[in-house]
Amino acid sequence: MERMKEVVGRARAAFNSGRCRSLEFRMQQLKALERMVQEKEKEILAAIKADLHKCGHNAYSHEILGVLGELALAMDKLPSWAAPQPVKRNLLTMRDEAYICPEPLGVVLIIGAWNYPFVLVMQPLVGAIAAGNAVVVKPSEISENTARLVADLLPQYLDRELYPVVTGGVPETTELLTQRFDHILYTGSSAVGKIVMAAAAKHLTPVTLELGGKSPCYIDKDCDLAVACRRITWGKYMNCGQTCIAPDYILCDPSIQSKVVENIKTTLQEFYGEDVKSSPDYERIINRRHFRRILGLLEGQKIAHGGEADEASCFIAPTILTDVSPESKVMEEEIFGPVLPILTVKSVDEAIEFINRREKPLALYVFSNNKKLIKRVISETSSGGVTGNDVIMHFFLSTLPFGGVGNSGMGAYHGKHSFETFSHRRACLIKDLKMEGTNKLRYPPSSQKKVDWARFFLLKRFNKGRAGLVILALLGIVAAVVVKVSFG
Amino acid sequence: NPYVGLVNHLRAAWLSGKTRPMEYRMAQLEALGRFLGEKKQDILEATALDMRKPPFEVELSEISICRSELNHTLNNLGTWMKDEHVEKNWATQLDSAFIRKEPYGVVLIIAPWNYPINLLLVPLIGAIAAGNCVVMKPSEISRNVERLVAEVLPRYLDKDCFAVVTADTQETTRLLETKFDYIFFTGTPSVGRVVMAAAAKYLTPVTLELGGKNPCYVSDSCNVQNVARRVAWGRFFNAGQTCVAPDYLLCSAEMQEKLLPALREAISEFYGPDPWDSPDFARIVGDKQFQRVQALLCSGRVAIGGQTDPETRYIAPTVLVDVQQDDPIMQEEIFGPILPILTVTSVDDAIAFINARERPLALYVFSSCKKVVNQVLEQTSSGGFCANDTIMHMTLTSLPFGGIGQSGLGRYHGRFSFATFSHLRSALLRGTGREALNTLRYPPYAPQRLPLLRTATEAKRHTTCTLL
Repeated sequence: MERMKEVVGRARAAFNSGRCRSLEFRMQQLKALERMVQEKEKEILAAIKADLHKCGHNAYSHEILGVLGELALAMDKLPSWAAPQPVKRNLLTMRDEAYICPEPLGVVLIIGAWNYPFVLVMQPLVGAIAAGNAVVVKPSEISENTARLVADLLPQYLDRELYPVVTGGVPETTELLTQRFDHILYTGSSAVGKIVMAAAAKHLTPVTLELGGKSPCYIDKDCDLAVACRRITWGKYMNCGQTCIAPDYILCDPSIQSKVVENIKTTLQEFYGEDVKSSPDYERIINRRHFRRILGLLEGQKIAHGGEADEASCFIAPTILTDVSPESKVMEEEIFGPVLPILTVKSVDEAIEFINRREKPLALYVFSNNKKLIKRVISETSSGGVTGNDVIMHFFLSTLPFGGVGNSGMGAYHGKHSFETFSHRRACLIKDLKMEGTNKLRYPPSSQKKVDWARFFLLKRFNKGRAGLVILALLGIVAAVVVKVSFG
Repeated sequence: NPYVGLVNHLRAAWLSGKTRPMEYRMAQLEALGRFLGEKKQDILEATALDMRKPPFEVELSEISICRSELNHTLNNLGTWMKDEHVEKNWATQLDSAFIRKEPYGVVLIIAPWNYPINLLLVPLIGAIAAGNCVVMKPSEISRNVERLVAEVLPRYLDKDCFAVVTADTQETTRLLETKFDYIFFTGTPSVGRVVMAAAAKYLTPVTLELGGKNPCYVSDSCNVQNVARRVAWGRFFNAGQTCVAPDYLLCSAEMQEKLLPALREAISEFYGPDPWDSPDFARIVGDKQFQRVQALLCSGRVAIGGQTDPETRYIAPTVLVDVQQDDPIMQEEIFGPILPILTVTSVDDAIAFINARERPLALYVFSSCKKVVNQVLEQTSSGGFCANDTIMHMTLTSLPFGGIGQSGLGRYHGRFSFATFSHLRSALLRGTGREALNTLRYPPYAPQRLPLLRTATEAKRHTTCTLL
């Protein structure tokens, strides 16, 4: 356990040496990371396959594509992201330099999850490196092959002291969380999220928590059911349902429930063929514990499709449940498996009410041809993110911040948002020692005249055009002179 | 839990959507403006009773700052509330992609006693602007302002959505057991930890505006008299009870010799021959705080001031010299009108001294040499930074105000207040047409589709194109 203290201590010493502050150094590390992903593609895909039974193409597009995209974006934009941003000044500071300077936070901790074991450590890592931090990476021990691979590969390509990988389970993570970090990004369950935040509170460490919940999917009567169901099927059953933003359950009018089931069944056939178990494109449940947990959710439910399972291979067939009751077990926890409950609601009002009675989800989905309805559902609910007429896709646009709200998390990342999450925006005001005259306004002893002048200076904002600028500058000089004469 | 009913009431109001329209938020903000205008005299009286705050200081640091934030918010709210459309990739070109700013729900604002109006109202402005309902908890230590806020402020605001609770430490602990959707706390790091631990139980996001010891480095090349004035002003404003006050001064022994008479001169300019008589010098807020600050006087040697009067909780503007790192005054944030000077041999020495300690809320450098300023800026870390003055970076609404490490988490002021109290919700609105394009992503997977999929979704490196 002393090991954790040493690892973090070394990372901190390395950070304090200042070498990861230069943009050149950060670019160099990002480039090395890019090389790693490209050169070791085969090994990465093999590890993910061993963990989740995920085929190469799927793994590539879910895990590697995203990372390469983030790397390309970060390397392209780093100079502009890291540059100081000048801000508007007021009259009192018009001669000064005022700007926001993005700076690294220090040593950050990234705790990954097992469902997308590679991208969920790599994507935050890219942002943390770009922002100039030292990073301790802790991949999930449940996806053990990927964890081992990350632990092997990162030291081969990156600075070993600045970016150590720590492996282990609950005891090791608990020990790690007693160390002091300058930011913690955790992806996982809400229950553990609370533990992480409580540990962070001891050190006043800011956190980004990417958690989960039950992401609702409302299907309006007025929509192209075939297309909607195809998209939902794709999002629900990818990674065998083990996706934090998978549509967890469906809400729809009772009159279209059977059509929804039919469409999903047809799509499943298209995607995975007659015998899902033999399709190379269908994944498995990560381990026995989750396998049993998910099967348990089927108890007492009306299975409209699927339900087959095989513990030896942790296989659970794509399953649809109908006429599900809101109080049943399957509606109590995030399913995180290939089981899709359908609950009927008589109107969009009922759907909105249903959604709002529950914890705020990570994602929310609405399918409808009626744009106004979609806008209404969005306005009257809350969630981390929303995709209308599709599922999952808001995750893939890096200009959109990805994160939760309430029980589904706090903070966000992806693209520039990662850089900002891992940076401190330091306010800087650079004055000079001249123009002491204007300062006399604020010094004691006080007088009504001073108050009036002070109010004038503080409340005027500096956002006029060129001509206005000149006039204000002249005004300022006149004021300074007047003040110097009357109070000097 | 006595507070659950109140919070549920506010949450119901929030769920009703009442606070969403811009007109509603503007109306509440304008009402706040009226409070500031109509109750100015009451504010001056209450702050005078609590800490003998000079009216001039109240005008500048409490009323004017609030007004500035209020005006800035009213002027910009429309823009801030708009959906922010974002750049799209190939695959989403025909879709609508934007970030919607949404209120969190019911937020809790806990304010301290040192700037009891400013540090309650400025966060409140942000919370209202962002469309939240708010529970406010002013400090029980500034009793008169607490009473004013609890009795008068609610008359100006919508009672369904905004409430003031008065609570001591025990009651605040109960308050923190209630679920809020955001907590904004200004105070000490030790209580900050308690607040964050309580928030963790509900996964409530927080902003913590804390404190620390703000270093002030004075280099050998500078206009000594101006430096002395600016440092003295920042240190003795509100009798030193300011989170961004320069806490201690670092300079060479030679500079110390020049600074002492200059500081003496500045103090005399500001407060006259005996600051006790000056109406422009405040008092320590309470007996407990007075005793704590007074005890720090035993560090080093008193070069200027040092007089105290427990009856009126007066501590004279004081400068200490021959202070060592291990002295009591260097172990905690002073939060009083005492300026210890520690000597260093060089700017590198000063930087090493600063970096060996917790990262402060503010950091000050005085030098007419730009190189020195840049060196300190680049080699240190702090919430905010101001060269050649003290405190002033806080008065610009365009600069984010917040700490780092032990000095805090999160930021506010101006548009940052609005952002702090908003959930940034990502939205991607697609059409159900063009389904053919989607087949790229569906199983059964065909490796030949991958290059096209990559082109459609991957961000590209910009390369210099000589043709263009």
